Amino acid sequence: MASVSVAQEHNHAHTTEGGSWKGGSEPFKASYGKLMMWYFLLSDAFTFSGFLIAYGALRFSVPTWPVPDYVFSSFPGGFQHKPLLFVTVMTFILLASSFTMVRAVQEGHRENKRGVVIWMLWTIVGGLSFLGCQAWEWTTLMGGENMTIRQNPFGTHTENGVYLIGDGHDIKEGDTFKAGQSYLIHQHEGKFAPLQYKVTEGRMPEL
Amino acid sequence: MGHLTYDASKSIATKTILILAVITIFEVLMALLGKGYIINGFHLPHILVGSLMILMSAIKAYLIIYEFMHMKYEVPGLVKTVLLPTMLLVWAVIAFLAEGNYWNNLRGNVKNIVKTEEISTPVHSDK
Repeated sequence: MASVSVAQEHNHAHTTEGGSWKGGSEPFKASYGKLMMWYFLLSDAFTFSGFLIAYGALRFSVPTWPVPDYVFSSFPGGFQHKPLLFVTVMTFILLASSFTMVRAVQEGHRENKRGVVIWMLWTIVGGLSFLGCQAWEWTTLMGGENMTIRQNPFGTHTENGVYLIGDGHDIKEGDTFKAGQSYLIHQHEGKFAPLQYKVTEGRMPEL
Repeated sequence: MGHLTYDASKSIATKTILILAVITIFEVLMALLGKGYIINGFHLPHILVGSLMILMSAIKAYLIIYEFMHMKYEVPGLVKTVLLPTMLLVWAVIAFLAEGNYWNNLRGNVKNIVKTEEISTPVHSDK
């Protein structure tokens, strides 16, 4: 495969011979590899959209959903309740690595081998950092917050109330909560330990 | 790419990453400000923040695809074959979110014969 496309690149100077219907010229004036990379990216966009749209449809189909700013609010080093911070870091790593990739391509056009190696290494560092961030996020979600494919410890309060006990993390006895606020049920000794609370305002759950 | 000098294309790349960085920071600040995380009790209308985010994201997508991925230098036919099909996704988003909303509305018709499990022990307040 690779040798074929390399050969095609070398024939580039002669491509005007033979005409369009005999494979003489490249469609859209792009090499086979480049054209197919664009169509791969297009199909990739559809795959990702499929997942994201499924998420959106599910989220719209239930009355309550944990607030993402609450769910995704941890930061490496034990920081809690920092909404959007880690997401921003990851977005920035993605942006920076597309910049380093462009720089590598530019150095390649100049046939500067050293420059290509340096910028490609930076791109690899960016890729590994992004993967590392993802690994940390998933580890926190599954290992720390006990999310599984069957159990979701996050939820949303449907009434105002006051906690009767603390959870040993950041909720203390007597803390109040409002309808629409999200909560996380922590595990104690391998079992989910929901907190006892008193409803002060709002609908009582039907028992 | 061919018609640009090395220095020109280098400065375009640097400029683009700076613009992208500024937009990203602006987006995060707007999101935090709109939800009242920066100034306590200060909220921005949901529709304003939402449309601003969509606009900013569209600008970012344009800059990344056209400058960083060099879509700018492709012939118009290629650009159309890649970008026009993504318009289908815009409709897919609208249609499936409406569908999700419809499922949610259907919940009102369901008679709950399964007793909801009590996960906490709420205590009636005396008031």
